[in-house]
Amino acid sequence: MRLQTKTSLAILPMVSLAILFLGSWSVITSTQSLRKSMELVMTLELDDFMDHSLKRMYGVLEKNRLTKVDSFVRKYQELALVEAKTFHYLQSSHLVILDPSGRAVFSSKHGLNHAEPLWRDVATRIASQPDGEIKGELKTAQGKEIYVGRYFKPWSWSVIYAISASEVTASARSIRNATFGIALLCIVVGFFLIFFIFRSFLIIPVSRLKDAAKAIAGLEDVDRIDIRSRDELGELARSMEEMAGAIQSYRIRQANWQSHLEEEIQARTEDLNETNAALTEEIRVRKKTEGELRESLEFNQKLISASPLAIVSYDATGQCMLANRSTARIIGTSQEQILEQNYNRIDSWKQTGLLAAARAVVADGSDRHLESHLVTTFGREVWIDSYLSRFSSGGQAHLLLMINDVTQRKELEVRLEKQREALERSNRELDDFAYVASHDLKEPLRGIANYSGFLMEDYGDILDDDGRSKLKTLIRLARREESLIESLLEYSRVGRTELAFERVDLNAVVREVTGAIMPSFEGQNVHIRVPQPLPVIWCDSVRINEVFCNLFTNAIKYNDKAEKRIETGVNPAVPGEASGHYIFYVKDNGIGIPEKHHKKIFTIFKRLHGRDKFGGGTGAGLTIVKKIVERHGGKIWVASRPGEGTTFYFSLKQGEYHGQVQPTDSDC
Amino acid sequence: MSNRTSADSIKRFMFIFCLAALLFGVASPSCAGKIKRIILMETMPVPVVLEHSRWFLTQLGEMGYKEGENMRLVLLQPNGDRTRAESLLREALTGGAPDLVVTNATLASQTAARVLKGTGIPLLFMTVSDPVGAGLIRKVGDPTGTNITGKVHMIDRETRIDMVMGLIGEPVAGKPVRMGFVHSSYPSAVGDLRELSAAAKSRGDILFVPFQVAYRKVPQGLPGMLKEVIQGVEIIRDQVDFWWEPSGPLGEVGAYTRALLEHSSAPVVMGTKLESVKLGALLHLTPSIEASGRETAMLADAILKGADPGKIPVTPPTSFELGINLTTALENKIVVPPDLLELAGEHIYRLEK
Repeated sequence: MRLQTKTSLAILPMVSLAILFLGSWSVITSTQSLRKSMELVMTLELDDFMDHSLKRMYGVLEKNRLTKVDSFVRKYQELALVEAKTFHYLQSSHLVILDPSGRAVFSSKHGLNHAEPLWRDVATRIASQPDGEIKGELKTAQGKEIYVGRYFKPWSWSVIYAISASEVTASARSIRNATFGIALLCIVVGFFLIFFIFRSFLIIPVSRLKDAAKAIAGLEDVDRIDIRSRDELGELARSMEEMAGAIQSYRIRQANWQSHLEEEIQARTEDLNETNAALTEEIRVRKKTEGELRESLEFNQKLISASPLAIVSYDATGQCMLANRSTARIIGTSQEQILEQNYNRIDSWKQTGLLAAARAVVADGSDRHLESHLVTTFGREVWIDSYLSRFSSGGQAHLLLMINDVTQRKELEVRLEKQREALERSNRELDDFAYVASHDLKEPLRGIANYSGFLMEDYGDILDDDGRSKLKTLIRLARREESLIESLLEYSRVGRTELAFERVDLNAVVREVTGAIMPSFEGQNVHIRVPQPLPVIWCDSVRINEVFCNLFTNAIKYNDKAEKRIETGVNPAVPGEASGHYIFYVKDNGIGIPEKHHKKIFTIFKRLHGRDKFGGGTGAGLTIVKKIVERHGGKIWVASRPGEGTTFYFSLKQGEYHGQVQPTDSDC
Repeated sequence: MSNRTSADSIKRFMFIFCLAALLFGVASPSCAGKIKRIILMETMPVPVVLEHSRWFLTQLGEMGYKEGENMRLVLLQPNGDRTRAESLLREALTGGAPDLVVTNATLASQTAARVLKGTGIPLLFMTVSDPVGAGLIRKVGDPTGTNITGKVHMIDRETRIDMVMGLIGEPVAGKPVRMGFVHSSYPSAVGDLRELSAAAKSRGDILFVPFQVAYRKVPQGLPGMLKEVIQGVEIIRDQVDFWWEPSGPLGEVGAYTRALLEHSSAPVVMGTKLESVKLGALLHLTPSIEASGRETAMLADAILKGADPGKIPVTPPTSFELGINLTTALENKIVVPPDLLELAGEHIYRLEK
């Protein structure tokens, strides 16, 4: 069966069914609408009658209290029925009124006797309705009647307004007939129209496309398909023309491509041979490299194994991966047992902070150094220096731990610390002894000197010259001994008393010292120079004042020049400069000190000259200066040659001082 | 009795005067300019006359006429005395020609028509039931062509007879219904009888049985007239089925209605005033006094503004008052149609049992 025939067979019933359905729907809908409209009109008409006749009449009676007056009621009912005759009736409609006994009191169309049996049941049903309203359809001998009914309660009247159903359906029948006539005409015209359209726009172009497709399938050249329409079929024809052209050009390209492919295979084969040769060479080189790598690995393993430091590595989970022999030695176990360890579970690591440090290193990658005293899992008590660092292997963070066993060094340090504490205690006891001794010795000496003086004054006349000379010697020796004890007392006081640290401007200190000593050396042509400002430091101002006072006094006293020049300053370019300290100096153009006495001069009561030469003195001044400087955390030393003058250097800490300065070895 | 009537008249005058002053005092100046001089002459102080005057003045006030500002009202009250009416009017005219003379009821209207004839002074009448019979105009509904115009205060007699017969026709079917009509010799009452009799003759189902008493000045002559009325009732009561109250001053008083009801068993079928229905008359149908008074005031305004009274036709009333006594209807087995009951509105009376 051809497409044309199939199309015809499909279209004809479709169009027929559609139009028939449309016609049927329109007839049913219009009939229902007409029926509803008619019922609505009848309802409105009936309500109008009820309102303007019955209800109005009854309203007047009710208003004037006449509802029980029979004459008025009968008259008003009669008047209502008279008005019913003038009711505006629709064509073929009629009004029926029945009283409570079912007796017809009014019928606009038929006689009362005819209407009564016809509408009695309907009247009964109206009376039984709660709202007194009803609508429906009644079959009579003349046909169907559509009716609406109302119950007028005051008079118990059932009022029925009816119309012949044929009047309502007459219009619907006309619509139905017209609809079916038009539908039939539409079927015939529609069929031919659709057939023509299908044939022109679909069947003929499809047939031409079929012929073209057959030619393309036979690899024939198809230049043009005779479909010129601009719809989908036209586009399909153009596409098929393009497809035919594309097939043609593809066939040409395929032939060209085949020869090109053979050339390409030849070239690729040559490339492959070259690659094979390169690969062979690469394998040879790789084998060589692997040998070297193996040697290097063995070297590294030996290096690690031979290292006196313990070298251990742990993976990201904390599991031990590598441990050398030194590790086993320091920990006190075998390498195998160490390799089974996970540092997260080692108690000694937790107790010493090593575990926290290891985790921090793995987390932030910063190297850490830790000194620990621990008892290993295997019972060995050991001091270790641990160096922790992170390295990456296989994309994961590993921990490298290098341990140095410092147990011997630490034990030595402990011993030294104990000795230092003993020494400190001994020094303190010595200071206490010196203080007590000098203090207790001072009073008898003063008594000897005083009583020698009284003896000289009271009995000097009766003594001979030798006696008086001996008595004078006694007084002089007692005075000297008192000076020595006073110096010793001062020295011990420096060691005993707490320093009062504060911010001190050394420029002010130097000015104060200069002002205090200069009157004592008036006329000796003394020049004290401060070439640059001195710093403000954290120190005990009274003691530092004492340092400058001693050094300045010595510089003047031990000077034989006509012009005595003294210079003091800070930070000279000298060797031995201590970091974090100011280096001060006091330089003079005095007699100088031979190098062999450079250390002796700081010994208490040590004098390099005769007792009364260069102004005398007890020989305790520099010793006290040294002690003051050292209690400030500094050092003092001297640079001098005889005849070239002397320079004393001393260092004092920069910044604020916190805590007690420990005595140094020189205190011994 | 006479003194009290005079005092009542003075009180009524004072009331009307004060009412006019009050209304005119608040009116809008729609007729500002020259002060209009209006003479209002009331035939006698009966309710229908006084009510007409009241509504006439009320409407004037609402239209902007204010006593002393744009209007000077001269009220004349001859108390039903024709001679006094004439003398009062003439006296009033000596003070200058008024802009308008308004007369209330027939006697005053007839007197004014005679006095003002040829003067050109406009005359406007009201409360006149038969202006043709009273000689004021030639025909109702046409322009008068004179200085006189006004409003008729009467419903067409045929209409009234139709209404009454629609109600009572059935009980007395088969022979003409006899209506007793005791009236005075007052012109409007006589004219009323004349018109009713003419209408009855053309129908055949109704007959008026008249009895006339001599008219005396009201209120002084009222007791005498009522005495004669009683005598007349007693004379003709066996010849009548119902009573019909006449127009004019006699029918306006309640004592007249009571005289009919107390001295006869026949019911009063048509009352002249609403009070008659309250007392027991079956029906009362008259033009609305309020509407009539207000319409007359509008005519006065038009004339005062220059309208020619000769070109203004005299017209019957347009609004009515209907009263029904249901007790009377029920006692006489008369069924009143719903239309009438609806029309009567609030004027339906029924004795509570």
